[in-house]
Parts: sequence; structure tokens; C-alpha cells
Amino acid sequence: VPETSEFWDGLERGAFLLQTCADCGHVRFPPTAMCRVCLSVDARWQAASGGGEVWSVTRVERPPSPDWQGEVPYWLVVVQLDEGAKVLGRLRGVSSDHGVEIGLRVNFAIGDPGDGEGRTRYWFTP
Amino acid sequence: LADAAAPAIVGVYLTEQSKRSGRRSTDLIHEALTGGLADAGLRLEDVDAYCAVVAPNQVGLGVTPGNIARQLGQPISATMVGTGAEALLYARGLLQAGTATTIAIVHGYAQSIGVGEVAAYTTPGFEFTHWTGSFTAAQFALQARRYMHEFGMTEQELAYGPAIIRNAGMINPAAVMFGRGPYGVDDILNARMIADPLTLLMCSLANDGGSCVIVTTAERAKDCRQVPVWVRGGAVDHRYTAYHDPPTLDVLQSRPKFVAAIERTGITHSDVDMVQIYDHFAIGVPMALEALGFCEAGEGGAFVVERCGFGQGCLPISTDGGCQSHSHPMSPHNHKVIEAVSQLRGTVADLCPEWESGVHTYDPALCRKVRDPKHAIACGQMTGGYSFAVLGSE
Repeated sequence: VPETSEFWDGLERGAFLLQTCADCGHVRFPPTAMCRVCLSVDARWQAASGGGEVWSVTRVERPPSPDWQGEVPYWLVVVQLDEGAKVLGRLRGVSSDHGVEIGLRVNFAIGDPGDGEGRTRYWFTP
Repeated sequence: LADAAAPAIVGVYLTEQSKRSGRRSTDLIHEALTGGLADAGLRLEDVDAYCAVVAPNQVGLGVTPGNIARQLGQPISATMVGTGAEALLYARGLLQAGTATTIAIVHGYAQSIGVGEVAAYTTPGFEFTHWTGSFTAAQFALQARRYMHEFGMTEQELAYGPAIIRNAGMINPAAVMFGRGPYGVDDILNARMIADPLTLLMCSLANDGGSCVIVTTAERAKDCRQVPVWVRGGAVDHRYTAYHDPPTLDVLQSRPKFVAAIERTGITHSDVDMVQIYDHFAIGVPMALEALGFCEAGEGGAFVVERCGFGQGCLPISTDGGCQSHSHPMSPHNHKVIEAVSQLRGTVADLCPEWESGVHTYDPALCRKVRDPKHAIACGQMTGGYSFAVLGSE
């Protein structure tokens, strides 16, 4: 997908890239062709600082398919990045019987999640 | 309604709703369309506009005027991708503009689900979602957790809606979960956890089924078999792409638009005799009631506990058993309209011995009939946006 390939290329280099509107400065994710605030098509890609806080959290106990059976239970979070944009992802490095509070400070991790797909992905850690 | 172009629902039809029907979507669509027209006393030749999510035969063409005309062998003036409340509002515009005279809103969907699998459409291949392990229930669990955090709603309050709705489905012979229940709040909370805080009994079904709603003008409705149910108004407010974008609570911001839309229909909230909520997950119940303006922001959970159900002075919700007990064949929006029409017509199947004669006991253990209803709200899509239509017997 042309409007998101730059993001995935950045991730391969170890950077989580956000789009910043060149005209109004609005920071957005997932990538889009136009700014939803001013409709500008000009955007700069800049690496996220890497931090944010948990906006919401769920502990998944029933997997979406049998492929995921070995993963449950696992945490999914929506993180509000320090730049303002929200990102959905896994929260790793927290035991499943531990509580995760909304507002928890978390950081990005970038790498191969070990799901056998061989793609560079991202997740969060406390 | 005196206006000759006023939109009238003159035909409704539900196929059998079931799990693993072994049928094909096209077969369900055919039965639904034929059944809806028969209920109305109209023929296929009368239909000049068509709304659907699933085309009778996709062949890469989808719900487009040319493809539908080709499939039905019938000239088509307009098509819309959508069903239920949104399609009714679109139909209203087409009728009042004179673009079309009779609109068929048709849905049919069948799938097979293997053991341990969820329906394919609940794990769409979205670029920033599917590989994370997210799926539909998890998306709404995240929405629920945020809502509970912001407004202090408890898990007990969250469980109340599913208990009310599933207990209505228990006594609906057409419900996929007919006979299953009754459920108390503790039963809902103690069911197997899917994605915290949503237990299995707080989630939609995923099953097969077809449905049809036929809409025409007041002028043409005079010649139809059924007493019409009128489409008085409503509103649509989409805000984001559910499942692609992270979940938000943005849909609560639809409230001023929705309150104004209800006012424009000439009735007030206290005139609404039932709300057929799109209860996809338990969190949809309080959020819909807030967005529609039945209670203040953040008070949806308490409102469901104190004011919803079949009791005296209560607001009945999802009286067929909703998406959780009646049926959820991918796109259940027509069901909300059909249940509202059945209630307004007085043709409600339940466990009352004489329901077929329209005689109801109003005993909550047997009866899911709303007493003497005049107005209903049928909710449409409630994912990245909400919509609803106000229906009335006058």
C-alpha cells in the first residue's frame, strides 16, 4: 500500500514513523494520504519518541483462531503516544496474572515478534 | 402522514436464523426478497431500488445498479451498500426525490465456522490490526474498558443489558438461542472470559440468516397487504474505520445530532416505546442509549439497570433477543427494523398461549410484547459510527 509502505520501511530501520502534517502540524497514525484536520497531502515522516501511556487495555483469554492458542492469555493495549496519536498493539513483558492499569507508561519495542511471519513488527513494554 | 411520497415499510421477512445452516448466501437472499415482497403484496417488477451489503451474486461487481439489474432482470434506479436503519433513511430520500418508488433492503449471509474458530469477518486482514492478535471482541473490550475507566461503570452494570436481551431471546421461538436462559447478572459475569471485561454471554452470535425490508411511498402503500409502518426520520454519523483505526469513544459525540434528529420527527424521547439496539457487544447497549440522548453522558450503565427492560415504566430494548440471542448473520441491521415493525404491527411470537391471535399475557417469563407501542427506534450500524431510524405506526 503506497501510503503505508514508508511506515513499514521505517520500522525495518528501527524507527516507528508518524506522519506530521506539513501545513497544520497534526500528527497522525495509521498513515493516510490526507490530513484529516486540514486535508493537506503534504506530510513529514518523523520517528516517534517511543513513549506513551495506556489508553485502554484488555486481557485476551479466548484466541481469535487456533493458531493463537499458545499465546493466550495476552494483553492488548491502545497506547496514546506522547505525540498524541493512538496505536493498538500487544503489551509484552507483563505476567498474565498481573493487572495493567490505564495510564501505565509504556515504550515501543520493534523487532521480530516470533510469529513465524518473518516481518518486523512493533509492540509495547512497561 | 399525508405526504404521498412519505416512506412506508410495507413488507418484512426473516428466513430461519441458525448456526451452520448449510445454505448459501444467495439462497438466503432469494428467500428473503421473495418473502418480503409476498408480505407486502408486491411483485419483483415493482422494485426499482435495492440496498444490500452482500450482492445476490458478487462476480466482482458488488451492489451496483448494473449488477443488481442484471441479477434481478429488473431495471434499477439506485443501489446503496447498507441495510437496516441507514438504508431506510436513504430510501426515504429516494422516495421523496422521486428517484425510486419501491426499495428492497435485502440481506443474506451464510458461512461455516470450524471448531475453535471465529467468523472470518471478525478477523479482517487490516494492516495495523490482524497480526497483533486483535479481533472484533477485543476491539470492543478495549472500548468497554476505556468507557468504564472514564465514567465509572461497573462490570455488573455492563452485564445487565445482556441479561435483559438474552432473556427476551429465550422466549423468542425464532431466536438462535431460543430456550437458553434465563440469565441473571451473575450468569453473564461468570461465563467464560473472551477478552476482559467481555464474557462469552456479552458477545454477539455469528450465524447464518436472511432478511428483507420493503419500503414504498404512502401512495403505493394503500394497495399493499399490510398496514404500513412509517419511517419518521433518524440520523447517521460515521466517525472512523472500526478495526483499522484503534477503538475510540468518539461515537458518543454523535449525541447532539441524534437528539436533534429525534426532535425533527415530532416526538420526544418519552414517546419512544422501544429501542432495538445493535447490541453487538455489551458495551454497545449503554453507549447507544447515551448517543441517542436517553440519558446523560456516562450514565448509560445506570440507565440500563434502572430503566430498561419489560417492567412498568421501563424502556424495552432489543426485544427479539438482539444480536446476542436472536441472530447476527454478519450484518443484522434489518433485524432491528423487522423487530420494531413486528412490535408495531402486533405480530410478536413468544410463549404466550394465544400470541398468534395477538393476545399477550405481559408475564415477563412468557411475554416479550411491548404494550400498545406507537414509536420505535431501530438502530443501524454501531461500529465506527452509529445510526438509527425512528419508526411509527402513525
